[in-house]
Amino acid sequence: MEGAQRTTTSLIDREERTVAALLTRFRALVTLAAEPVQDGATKEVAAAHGLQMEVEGSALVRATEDLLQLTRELKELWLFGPLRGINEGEGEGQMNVDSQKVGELVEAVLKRVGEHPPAS
Amino acid sequence: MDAIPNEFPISLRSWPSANSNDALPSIIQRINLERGGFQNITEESLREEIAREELNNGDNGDSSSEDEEEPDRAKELNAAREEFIGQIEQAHQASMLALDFISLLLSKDAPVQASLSLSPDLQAMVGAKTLGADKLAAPRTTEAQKQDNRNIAKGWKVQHLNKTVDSILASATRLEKEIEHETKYWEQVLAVSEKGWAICRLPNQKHILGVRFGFSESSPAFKGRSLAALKRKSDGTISLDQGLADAEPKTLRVRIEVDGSFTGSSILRKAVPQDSPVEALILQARNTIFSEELWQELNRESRILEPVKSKDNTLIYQLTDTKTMVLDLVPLEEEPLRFTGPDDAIAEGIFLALNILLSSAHRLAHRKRTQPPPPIVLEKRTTPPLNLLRPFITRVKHQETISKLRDILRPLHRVLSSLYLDHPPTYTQIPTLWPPQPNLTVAERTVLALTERLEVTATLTITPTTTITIKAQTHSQPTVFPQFVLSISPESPLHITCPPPTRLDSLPALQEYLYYATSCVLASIFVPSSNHPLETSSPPLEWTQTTTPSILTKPLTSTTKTKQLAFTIRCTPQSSPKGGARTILRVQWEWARGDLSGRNLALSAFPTTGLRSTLWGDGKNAGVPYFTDQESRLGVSPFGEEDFDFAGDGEGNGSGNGNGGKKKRGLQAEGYYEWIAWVGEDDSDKGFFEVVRSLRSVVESAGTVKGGEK
Repeated sequence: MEGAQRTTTSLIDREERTVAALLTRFRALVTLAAEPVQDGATKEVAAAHGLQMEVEGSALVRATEDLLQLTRELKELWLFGPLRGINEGEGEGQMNVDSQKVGELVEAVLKRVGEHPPAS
Repeated sequence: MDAIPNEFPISLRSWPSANSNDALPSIIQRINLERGGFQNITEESLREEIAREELNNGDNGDSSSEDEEEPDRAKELNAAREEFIGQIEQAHQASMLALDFISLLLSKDAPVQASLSLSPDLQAMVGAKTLGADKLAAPRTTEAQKQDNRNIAKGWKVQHLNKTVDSILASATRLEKEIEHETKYWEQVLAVSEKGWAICRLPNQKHILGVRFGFSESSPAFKGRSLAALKRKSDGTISLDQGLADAEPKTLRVRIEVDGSFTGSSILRKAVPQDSPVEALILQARNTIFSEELWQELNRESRILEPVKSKDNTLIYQLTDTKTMVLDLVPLEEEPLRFTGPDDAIAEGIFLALNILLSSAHRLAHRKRTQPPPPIVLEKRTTPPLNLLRPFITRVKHQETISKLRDILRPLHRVLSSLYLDHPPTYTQIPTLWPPQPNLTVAERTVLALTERLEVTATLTITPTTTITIKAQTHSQPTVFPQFVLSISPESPLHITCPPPTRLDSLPALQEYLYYATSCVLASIFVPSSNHPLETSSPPLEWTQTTTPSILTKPLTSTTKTKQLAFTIRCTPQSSPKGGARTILRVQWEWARGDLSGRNLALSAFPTTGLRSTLWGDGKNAGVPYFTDQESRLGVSPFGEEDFDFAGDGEGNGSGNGNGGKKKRGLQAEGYYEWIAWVGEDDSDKGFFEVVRSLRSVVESAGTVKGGEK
């Protein structure tokens, strides 16, 4: 169970971290947008701000995609990861009953054929 | 700090010691400090001061709480003092740092001066001349330029903002679509997985899911092909991608051929079109790989199994005398040709049986794999071919053996019962049921029960003392062959006269032995037991056995001849339209010839014309049949030769009584009598056998000599 425990907490951790990153980037973007224009060396500052806005924007998108990847991994784990017990879904199922019936039928037919052999 | 009046000049010096008789210079210093010099001091003012002070002290000393407040004030004073000292220390530190900074800065330009004020620690840590300062020209931006800059900055900011917003919106739309596709994809994957297919990640590309439709026990060549990727198409639906494998659906086809034309074929499924749901495609892929593996294993097995021949990409095996089974692998088409024939059921049955056998072979391999592995050897172990056709052929052969055995034994039994012996013979044929093995599942047990250790036990009781037990087994390794284990009951005379071989390998040999043994037993019925004492005077007037156990001799005292009685059982091949092959028991009696006679045989007393009858007549040259008056009146006669076609070629024979040309008259009082049973007749067939004689009467009449003979 330890492995599952670690994975669970790490997954939750990842999710929270991603959400936090998302929010941080957004806040930075808004900050950059709201900063008033200052005097002195404004062109460079403005260029730097622009670059930072771009970076923050794409980081925002990437954080969102991270979340999407997380959900996909969760689905994969759900489908065939450690969530399924061993030997679940195996077993003979209907085969036991069917095979018995088939065996009896075949024996009966063979006996019948043996007693009265067909013409050809 | 309230207790100390503000104008009290604070002295940083230590509190003066108690001796007020200080040195004069200190007193003068204090006076200078307190009063600002000696200028304003007169005698009267000093006396006034003293008087005033005494008054104040008296006032202050009146309150008793002054004493208690003193320590608090002292403590507070101390605390304040400590704080004060701390702050001053900090100020000192800050100023030293500033000094160091400036001296470091100056050390570049004026190193000599700077090193005087630089602390040695900083010099050691950072090194001199490491910080420099330059003077820059002031920015020569005019107001207009500044305004311009501001506008530019604003414009840029707006631009960047717009760009960011646009990119965020675009990615949002894209992600939404992506989520939609993902949802659809996962829904379908879930549907596939619910059906029972195993989904896994592709080993090469971690982000693509695949479905495994192969079998875990397939040979390695097929295992690589058993994985198909589930790709997502542009509109979100799933598509199956088999990569480099050949995706054409195939299946095994079983056909029955009679005389060159096909009379039956197994049912061919329709190929699933490409745009059907994924599960159907996966199912088809699985069936295809199963069929291909089945085909490969069948081919492998046919190389070591002798009766199965391989020709032109097909496998051929002779099922019965007329039918041949043809196997081949055919691709499925969308519109299959429907081929129906009378033997379709057989073909379909064989197809199903082969599939089931492959599955059970897989299961066996799985069982073997889960056990601890054998020790490692140097040379590579190759897996032997799976047993697919072998159990099938074994079963078919076993059924053949059963029916042939029945065909031998049943007519024999009928013949024996028509003899009207004292104790009627019995005959049973029972297949052996082995106890089921407990650690196998029901399906495995069923398959095993149908194909392994096939055995049938037949018991034939001829006389009360003689019971023949035949165990017919069909073995499958190394080839498919039958084996018959014989055993006789212990008190039977057969042990002395005709002991059985323990094992026989072919049905004809068994038949030979059975007929011979039965005739010996029948002969021994009429031999009296050796319990009563022999009469010494004359040779006994009973039948005695000769060296051939199925021939008895009896001396007749009225004549000096010996009569010989022979029992034979034979089987004719299947020829007559009346039924199957015939089993015939013949009792033949004649005069002993040669040394057996013991007396002189006056042969010339009897007219002999024609050919002598040979000892074991082949039917055409038998002597005159001997029958009683009663029978001749009733018109019953044993079958003459014209009824039989022993050679099987259909020609009528011209021998027999009353025909000219081939009149054979042997010696008198010689003849034979036959009891006949057919394969395939049942009890309802009341033919000529209602008035058949019993064995005892025949033997007795054979042993006597009627009047008219000497």
